[in-house]
Amino acid sequence: MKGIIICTADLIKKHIKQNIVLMIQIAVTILIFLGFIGKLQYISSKSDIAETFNSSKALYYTPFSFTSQDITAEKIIKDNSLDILEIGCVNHMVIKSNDNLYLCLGYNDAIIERCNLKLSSGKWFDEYDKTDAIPIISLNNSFSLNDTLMLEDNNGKKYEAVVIGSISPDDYVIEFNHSGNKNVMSIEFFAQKPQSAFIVPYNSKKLPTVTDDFDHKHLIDDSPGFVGELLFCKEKSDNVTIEKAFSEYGEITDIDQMIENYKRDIKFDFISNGIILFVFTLLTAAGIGGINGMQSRLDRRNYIIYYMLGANKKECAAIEFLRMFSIATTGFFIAIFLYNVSSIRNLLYSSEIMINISTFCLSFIYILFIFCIVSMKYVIDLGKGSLIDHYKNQE
Amino acid sequence: MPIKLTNISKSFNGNSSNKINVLKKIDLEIQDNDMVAIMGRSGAGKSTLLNIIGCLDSPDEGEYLLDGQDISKLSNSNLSNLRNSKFGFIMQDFALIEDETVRHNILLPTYFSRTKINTSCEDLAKKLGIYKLLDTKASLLSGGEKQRTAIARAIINDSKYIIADEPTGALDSVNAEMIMNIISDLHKTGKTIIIVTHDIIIAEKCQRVLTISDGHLD
Repeated sequence: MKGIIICTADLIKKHIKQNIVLMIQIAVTILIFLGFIGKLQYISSKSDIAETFNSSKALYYTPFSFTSQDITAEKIIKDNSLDILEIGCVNHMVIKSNDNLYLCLGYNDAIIERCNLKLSSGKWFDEYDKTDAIPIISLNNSFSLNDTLMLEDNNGKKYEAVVIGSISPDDYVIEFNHSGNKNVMSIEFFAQKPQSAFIVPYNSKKLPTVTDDFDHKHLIDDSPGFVGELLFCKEKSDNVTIEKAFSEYGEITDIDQMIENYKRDIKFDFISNGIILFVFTLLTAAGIGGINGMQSRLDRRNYIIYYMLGANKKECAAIEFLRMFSIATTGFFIAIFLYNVSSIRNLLYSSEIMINISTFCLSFIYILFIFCIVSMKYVIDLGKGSLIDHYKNQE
Repeated sequence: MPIKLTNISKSFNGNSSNKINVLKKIDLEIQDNDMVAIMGRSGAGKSTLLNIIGCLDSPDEGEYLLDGQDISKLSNSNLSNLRNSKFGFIMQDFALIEDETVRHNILLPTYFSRTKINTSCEDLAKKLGIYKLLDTKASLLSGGEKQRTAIARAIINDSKYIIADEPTGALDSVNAEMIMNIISDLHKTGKTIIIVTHDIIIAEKCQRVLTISDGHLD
């Protein structure tokens, strides 16, 4: 073991300038790779949104004039005697708790029952079985699981609330947006990165009785206006009549059409970014692999001397792997350091990039993979025939 | 018999049409404390024979017994141990790690040794006249100094056999003579010396001279 460590240090020291350049190249490669992978992860995470509304026979209605409170779905349904099962609403609110004001989202029963949001911990509203506190879902790590809050309405009446679940800042919550026509309307319009502190049931008839007393009208309404609603239908065949009735007041689009549009956009994004990543991967593999391979060839004489003096081929391979691992790891830590410099991070990455521990791990594995391929080839070559022959051929 | 080679053959380029039979059914016996010179023209197979004796290469056919042990039955790891403990190598191009110090080069075999080494690097350096150079990089040494460093490295593990491939090939006559004197002194201390050389003067200093030609040992 002593020999392996000493010889590895020798080899790193031998090409110290080239190794420093290589480490910087690795760090820069990792930073760029993080960006590409982060983008793909972001796109991939968005594909989960499509699952949120799967198997729902639903239509999304957004009025032409989104400030008008008069033309709600409820009014149109009533005027046209339409057969609609439920209307899904999302309300933006500000709720007071312990003298602090929190932005929050209010989901009605239709949204709670029919949307499957990805939770990082805890459970969704429909699994909550207690009746003595209002269940809330924490967003952006604002609260921990099982935390209790005292929510207060404008009359000063207080209601106990308990955190039953949590959604990670990297995932999505359902919010409605005013959007364009059928061809461009995408399910993505519903999915937003969480901006609020928590989600609370809104006008729920099915959740604890305490929720019924919770008078939302006394809370500050932060909604920019009525932007849209989800109409859940009994049968798909009802859609034609419903679409005709709603089309006078706004845009109405089948959820399936929006999912299709969304998947098309995601696919295009994924392929275009995937191609860039593939080309980048090849170029960096050639660059880093080439330099590493060159060093391995230059080090061949050293390995032959080690072999002659008593190192076996496994020890030679261990020296090569330790050398490669040390350089790759140092480059990786330089990348982490640079990533934590906020000016560099802001310069390189947009908000549409999802970087987490797994992104870093993936980047590190990628760098190790490039090194391993080159070093492995070299080690296998060492195993073929006599090292002395290699030495003489080189001479 | 410390070293006994029987019917040893070695070829290169495998089964291809360019196959070269370097060694053809060679028999060789070397006694303890022997000093043997192996001569022959370039490409005759001297170095290949030396590599096989030094366990750096393996024969295609034949039997090699080292101190009664059949070398062909040893694993790669055991062969490495054997090289480390029993053989010291002195090469024409010195085979030193040029970027490292003399001390580091001399100590290299001890890093791979499975047993404790009692020989002092400083004592060896003093004996060979390179003590003051211990912390000098090998690349800054003269040819004679490099070869003395290589000799120190070859004996730091108290190896029984010294394998020397053209040890004076890259040296001037003064340094060549000094190196040969050192090798002769090693022989006097009981070590078995096997030298490959072109130089008849060096060969004459050995107890036995063997000539290899066309793959056969005369």
